[in-house]
This record gives sequence, C-alpha cells and structure tokens, in this order.
Amino acid sequence: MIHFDRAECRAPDGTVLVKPTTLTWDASHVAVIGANGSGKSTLVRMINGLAPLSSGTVTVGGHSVKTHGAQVRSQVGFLFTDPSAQLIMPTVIEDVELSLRKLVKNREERRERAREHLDRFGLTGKEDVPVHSLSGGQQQLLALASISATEPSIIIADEPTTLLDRRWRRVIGDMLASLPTQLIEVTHDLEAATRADQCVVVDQAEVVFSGEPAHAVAHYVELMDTSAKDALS
Amino acid sequence: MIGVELYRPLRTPLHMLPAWLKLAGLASVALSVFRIHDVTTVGIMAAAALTLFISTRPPARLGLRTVVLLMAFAALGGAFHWIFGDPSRGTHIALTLATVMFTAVAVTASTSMDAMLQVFGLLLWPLRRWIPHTTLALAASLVVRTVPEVARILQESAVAARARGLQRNPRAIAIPSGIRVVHHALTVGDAITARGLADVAPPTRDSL
Repeated sequence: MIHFDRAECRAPDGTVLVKPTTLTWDASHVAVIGANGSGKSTLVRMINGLAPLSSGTVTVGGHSVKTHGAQVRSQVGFLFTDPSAQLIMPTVIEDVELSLRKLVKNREERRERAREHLDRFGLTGKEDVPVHSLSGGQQQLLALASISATEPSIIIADEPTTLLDRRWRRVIGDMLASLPTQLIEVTHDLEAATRADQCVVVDQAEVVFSGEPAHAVAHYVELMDTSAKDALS
Repeated sequence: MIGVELYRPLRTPLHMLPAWLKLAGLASVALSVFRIHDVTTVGIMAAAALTLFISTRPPARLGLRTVVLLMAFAALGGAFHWIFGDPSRGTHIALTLATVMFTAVAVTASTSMDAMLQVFGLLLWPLRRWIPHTTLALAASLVVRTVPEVARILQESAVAARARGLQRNPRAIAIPSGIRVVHHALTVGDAITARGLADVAPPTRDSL
C-alpha cells in the first residue's frame, strides 16, 4: 500500500511540481493520467525517492521513503518510458544478473536464475545478445524482466508503451497485468486506464480526481477538451 | 564497441579458456612483442594473432570490418617511419600494433563482459578498502553500454541536421547531441537509483 500524506515536491528554483497531496493507493492496478507536464511522472517518482519530497511524507508498506529509501526501493520496481536508458549492462543476461546480485550470491546459481527469468519473459535465445541490438519492444520487455527479477511488491510503469508499436504495447501491457505485484501505471492510453481498478487524474501539479476509471477518464477528457477550446479561442 | 558487438557465446577453443588465462595471455603478448626486434618474428606473431581472432568465428561482415579497421590503425602507426624514416622500422611498428590489437579482439570476441568484470573484481579485491571495485565494474559496464547509445544519438542528430539543411554546420550536430547525451546520463542515473544499485551493501567475494 502506498500512502501520500501532504506530500509536496518543488523544483530547486521553488516551482511547485506537485502540490501537497494526501491519498492512498491500495488497488492492485492504479492508472495515473494527465496532460503532458501536469506532474504525473513527478507524483509517481516521489514514491521511490527519484523526486525528493519538499514536505510531507510518502510511505510504502509502512516505510517512509525519506528515512528508509533503500528499503522502499527494494520493494518498488520502476519501468521508464525509454528502455535504452535503464538497461545498464552490455548484454541481455548480464542486465538480469545485475538485478539478481543482491538476492543470489552464487554466480552459477545467479546465471541459472537469470536464464529462467528470461525464459519467463520470452527472451530465451537472446541471453548473450548486445542490449543495443534489441528492438524497442524487446528492450522494454528486458527492462521489465530485469526489474521484476528483484521480486518487488510494487511496479511503477511511467508511460512504458509510449514509444512502442501496437503489438509491443499489447505484449508489455499483458505482461505487466500478469505480474503478481501492485501496478502503478502512468499512461496516455485511456483504454488501458479504464482497465485499472483505480484511476487518478493529475492536472496542473495536483490530483484533481481519484476513483472509478470510467469516471476518471470522462473527467480527464472534459478537462482536456475545455483546455483545447481555451487555447484555440 | 568492437568487442561488445563481436562477442558470441560459441564453444571455440578460445571461448572455452577461462577469462583470467586469456587476459594473462593478452598481457604477456602485449609485453613481449615490444621487446622483439626481428620483423619476421613479429610478422609471424601478427599472423598468429589474426588466426586466433578468426578462430573465434566472428560474424563475416563484422569480422572483416574489424580486420580492415585494425589494419588501417596499424598502418597509420607505421606511416610516419615509412614516409620520413626507416621503412623497416615502420613495418615493425605496424606489425607490433597489429599483433596486440588482433590478440585483444580475439580475447574480447571470446569472453563475456561479465567474465571479464569478474576477473577485474578479483584483481581489485585486495584493494577493496580503497577502491570500490563493484562501483568500478559498474562504471566499466556503463562505458561499454553507453558507446552505442552515444553513436545512435550522434547519428540521429546528424539526420535531423541534414533534414533542416544544416549538414555543414557542426554545431547543429554537436549541441543537440551534447544535450541528449547529458539527458541520457541523467536518466541512466535515475535508473541506477531506481534499481537500488546505489543502495547496495558491500559485496561478498561470492557476489563478484
């Protein structure tokens, strides 16, 4: 369970990126939608400390990210929009092995576990392939394999399918949905948002709606339509 | 970049040798070849090194590109003496460089990055108090991983500059590339933090 208690995030120049927010996310699939630059990515980055809090607290499973950052990050996997930036090791299997270093100390055992994990994600046969030679969809699949290898209880996916074609969107979306973790998904895909259990709308650095996905999407569409009309007039 | 692209998990004799032995072999070749002054002997060593590289069965096009590139580098090394000094000295330098470079690519083409990092980690283990060897190993991996990303960014910036008719303006390529490389580095930093790699406790010998 993730709990925000008057959590606020400001840029170093004082600009408010996320206004003081209090909410609880305990649904197994939470979608976060909002316009570009509305603060939705910053909101989810506050969960694992990537966006430092200016005031208030965020707790994950009872642990505050401010005081127990490492413990929180060990529970939270983060999937970025651009997979090429989050794959750190040169080859496929090495990237998964890097994730497993804390869990599996023995090297041979670690390699075996990494192979099993790649097999689960349909990446068998790609073990020794250089990461940069994979397609965008395969890279995102590997990124997901690497972060889920640490067995997190929560996965935050920040627009994970924005750069992908329809086929890979489907593959990554289905794979994310099949994982036995709480999923926090930042998305522009309103169809995917309606499949969530809870949906949050972020607008101009604050959460303006939280609740049933169909209502949240309707609220967001109305917001965007009004904003577009204002921009055109 | 050459090494990373060339590595294939095959079962050639060189692939089967332990990484430490291959690295020790490379070090001894590099140290000994500079002491040999006989051009014929160095020529035989260069041919042997080339054969060793071919024995790793690199992909045909990539292997050929690597050989041509390394031979060009070696020729460049001997060019000064060929033009201004003693041609046999130039040949000796070119063959010496070729020996070291072909041996090096033979090792990188037959050894995974993980196996090499493990050797470096073990070598640095006695200095663990002063040198954070896991951080160094991670930094080395990041360098290898970043080279193709930087190449991709440069290529995309060059295409974008050409599309705007600015192909003759180096700033139109350098500035956006520089900004994108910094952005990439910041995102990689975020990924390292998010994956908890910055929170890792000191490793045990087994975890290397």
